[in-house]
Amino acid sequence: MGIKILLTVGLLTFLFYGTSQREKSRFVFHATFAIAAAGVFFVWLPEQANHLAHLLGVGRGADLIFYCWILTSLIVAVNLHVLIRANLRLTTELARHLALSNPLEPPEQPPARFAAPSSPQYPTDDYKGATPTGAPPD
Amino acid sequence: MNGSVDPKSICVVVAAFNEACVIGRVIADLRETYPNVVVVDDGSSDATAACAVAAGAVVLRHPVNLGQGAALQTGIIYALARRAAFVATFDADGQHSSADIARMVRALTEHNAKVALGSRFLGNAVGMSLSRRITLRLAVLFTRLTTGLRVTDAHNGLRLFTRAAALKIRITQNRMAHASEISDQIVRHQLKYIEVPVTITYTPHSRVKGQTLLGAADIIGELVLGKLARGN
Repeated sequence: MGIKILLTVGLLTFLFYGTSQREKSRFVFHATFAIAAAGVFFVWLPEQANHLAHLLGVGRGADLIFYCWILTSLIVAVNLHVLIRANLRLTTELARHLALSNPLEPPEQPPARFAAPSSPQYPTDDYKGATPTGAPPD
Repeated sequence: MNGSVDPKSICVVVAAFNEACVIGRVIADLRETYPNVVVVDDGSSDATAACAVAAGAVVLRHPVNLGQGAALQTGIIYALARRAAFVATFDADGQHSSADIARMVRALTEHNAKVALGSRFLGNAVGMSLSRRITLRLAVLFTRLTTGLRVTDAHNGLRLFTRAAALKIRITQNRMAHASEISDQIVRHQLKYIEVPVTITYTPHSRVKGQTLLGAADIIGELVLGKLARGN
């Protein structure tokens, strides 16, 4: 009984976290709600997990829950990686902006000036890249 | 030296991370022919930036280490903002020959191509180990399978872009997967490219920094996760 109460408290805490995220991500909210609800259901009615496992062709309810846990963990890991990459993109833009804003020029040498493209096959358009505002003026 | 192309119209972008021991020599060699050299110091903890400036390069400093791909993109943006007609990328570890840039410019203008890619397998690879050769051959196979680009050397840091091509290339892979990303974008933007034989001279220093089979596995992982992230 003690472990059932502990698991239920854990799942309800998880549900509380999901609810707090509902404004940021509806997917996270719905996923945590579904996982917590299913978790509480199977904690208190474990024989139903066996029944469902047999329906899905899995030997035991515990195995079914274990497989679902692995799948959920993988999805969470990929989602976290995607979020980390998004943060890395922001860091990159910030670092690039700082780098382009403060070029170190060699001593006793005028700033770099490139010869203008002479051939018509090379356009002389201004670059409209990710952080051109950080670049020093021509 | 470069035919009708003024060396001043070429900006050489060098991405560097903790290369203080060799960067001065590399920059000095480049600047004998190309006055406009930009070093992107990618968060080095040694004197890379000071050595590069002393050797005559403009230095852009990333406050943190982001990776070679991010450094190259920063350098390319700087070169384009400075209205360079050509942008060359050149490794900081001293394994490239500056004389190959002139060869690439000539080949590019003769074939009216937009991108010239250096190939050590068409040229020379001095001191390359067998494991490195196998890794690079696998990388070529991977690039051919995933992008359809018929190249003989997929991870050669010596490249030359016309301004038009550099305007289209956007490197979003911060680390070593940028080489495969560039290949992918050459195909996607239908940029006419040529491969030019170049010489790579491996040194004990450059061997330490090169790709391994495990590194190649990382690159594949970065590319797959990068595509997932963009699709998100």
